[in-house]
Amino acid sequence: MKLSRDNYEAYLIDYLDGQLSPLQVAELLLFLEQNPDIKSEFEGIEEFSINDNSDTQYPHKDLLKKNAFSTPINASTIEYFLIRKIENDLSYDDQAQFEKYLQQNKSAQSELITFEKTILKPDMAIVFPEKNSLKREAKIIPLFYRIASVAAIFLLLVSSPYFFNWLTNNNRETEQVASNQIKTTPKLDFNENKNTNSTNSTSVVPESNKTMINKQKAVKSTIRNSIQKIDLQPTFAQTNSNKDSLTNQIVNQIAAQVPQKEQSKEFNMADNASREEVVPDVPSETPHYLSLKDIAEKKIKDLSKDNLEELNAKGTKKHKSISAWDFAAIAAKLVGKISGNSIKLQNKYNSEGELTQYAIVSNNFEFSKGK
Amino acid sequence: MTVKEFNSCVDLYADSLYRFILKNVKDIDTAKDIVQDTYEKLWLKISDVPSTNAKSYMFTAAYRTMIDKLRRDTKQTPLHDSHTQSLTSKNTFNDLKEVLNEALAKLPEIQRSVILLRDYEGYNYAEIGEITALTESQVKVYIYRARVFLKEYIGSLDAIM
Repeated sequence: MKLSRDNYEAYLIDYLDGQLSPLQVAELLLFLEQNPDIKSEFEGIEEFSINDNSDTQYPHKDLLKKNAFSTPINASTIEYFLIRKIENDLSYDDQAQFEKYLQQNKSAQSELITFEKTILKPDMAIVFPEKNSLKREAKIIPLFYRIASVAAIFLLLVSSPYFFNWLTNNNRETEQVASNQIKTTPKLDFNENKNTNSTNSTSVVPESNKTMINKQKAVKSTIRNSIQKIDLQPTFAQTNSNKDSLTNQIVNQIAAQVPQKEQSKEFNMADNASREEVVPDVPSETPHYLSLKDIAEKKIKDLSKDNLEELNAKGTKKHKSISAWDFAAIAAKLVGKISGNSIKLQNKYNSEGELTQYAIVSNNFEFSKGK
Repeated sequence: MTVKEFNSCVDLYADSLYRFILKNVKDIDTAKDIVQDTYEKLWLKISDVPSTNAKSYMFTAAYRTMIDKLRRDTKQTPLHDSHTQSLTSKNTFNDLKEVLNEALAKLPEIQRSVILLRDYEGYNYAEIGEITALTESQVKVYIYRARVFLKEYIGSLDAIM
């Protein structure tokens, strides 16, 4: 490889490392003479050659060694031993050797005193000022709260399907009764006329059928009368609560006034034509969506019997539909039974039977609010 | 650990933990925050930490919280600067306690922590290693360097007294 301005760096490095032959050195020197800029650069590099500093030594080489025998104590290692002494880190052999050295060396004794001064002592006057804020109180959950929690969750789980069914059925029922209400009056009138006409016009009706038709008429008449007595005022822009109330009234009154056995018997015997006309008006023929509600209502009414009796005793004319108060009374009873405390809901009514004050009374507390 | 044992830990260790942190961070509010934070951590781990390990757990948690905070909030003073300043000002103190506190403040953070754990709490090298995440040998080296630095700082006994 011929020396040139493109590769002279490699030659210079080899020259500094002593890797060039005499011929190459002569060639390099000639090259530098011919290129003064490179020569000045090279001279700068030459001044910064790195020495190995062989006189620099690690001060505590003896301490790094792992010997079977203890490290000898001398001027270079005494500091290490002094620190081990105040750290209580001397072995039995080292301790003896150290004591011996210390007795012979007064400067070491002075050094030891100085090192002993480096041991820090905590200032006991410094204390954490808000210690009580760090403390915690044990949370003791009474057993009856646990039981009550479990019972409440259980009741919630059990009652939620009924509740949703009840809501769904209520809506369906309201819609159905509303549509029936629209159909009822004209259909009954029409049917009555039709039946009357048919009765009058046909003279060949068998006796058994006549009896059946008369009974059917009687049933229809009972239903019509019951609906008229309800005084529904069918304004279908009513609110949902009115719808519910309306529904309850219709269902309860019809159910109370129509004899169930007769009703079912008659409809089983009726022919298809008359059944089609009557079916929408008769609650027993509606789908059994009401059954869950009826069950729930019955249970709740049984549970809130005391409250209703209380109302009756006071001569109130309040209707017996289930209210939030009944639910509250039931809940209070349940909580009272679970917790073992007597919890009661007490009401005060005025002469007109309106609620004026209600109160929750327990062994430990009493809460009342006027209305 | 029970709640009672937790509260006992407050009585037993809150002050020493506070002193340890305060010596390191040199700020009362920061030290309080770290102690509270440490006990909060202990409370969260109350079911996992046995009462026998509570002190070690708390010092470890406090030390690591403190390191995070120091590294986040402050710039560390290089060791050679500390030495230079200390050696020029050491004779201005008359009280050994003041001298040591001043010297301690000038130690690098890790050396200060290990020597405080050693002298204040009496932890052995292995325990200090667990708290500070160092090997036992590293702990010894840091303690050695800290002792030498403190000795050089306070100078000869005659100069102090």
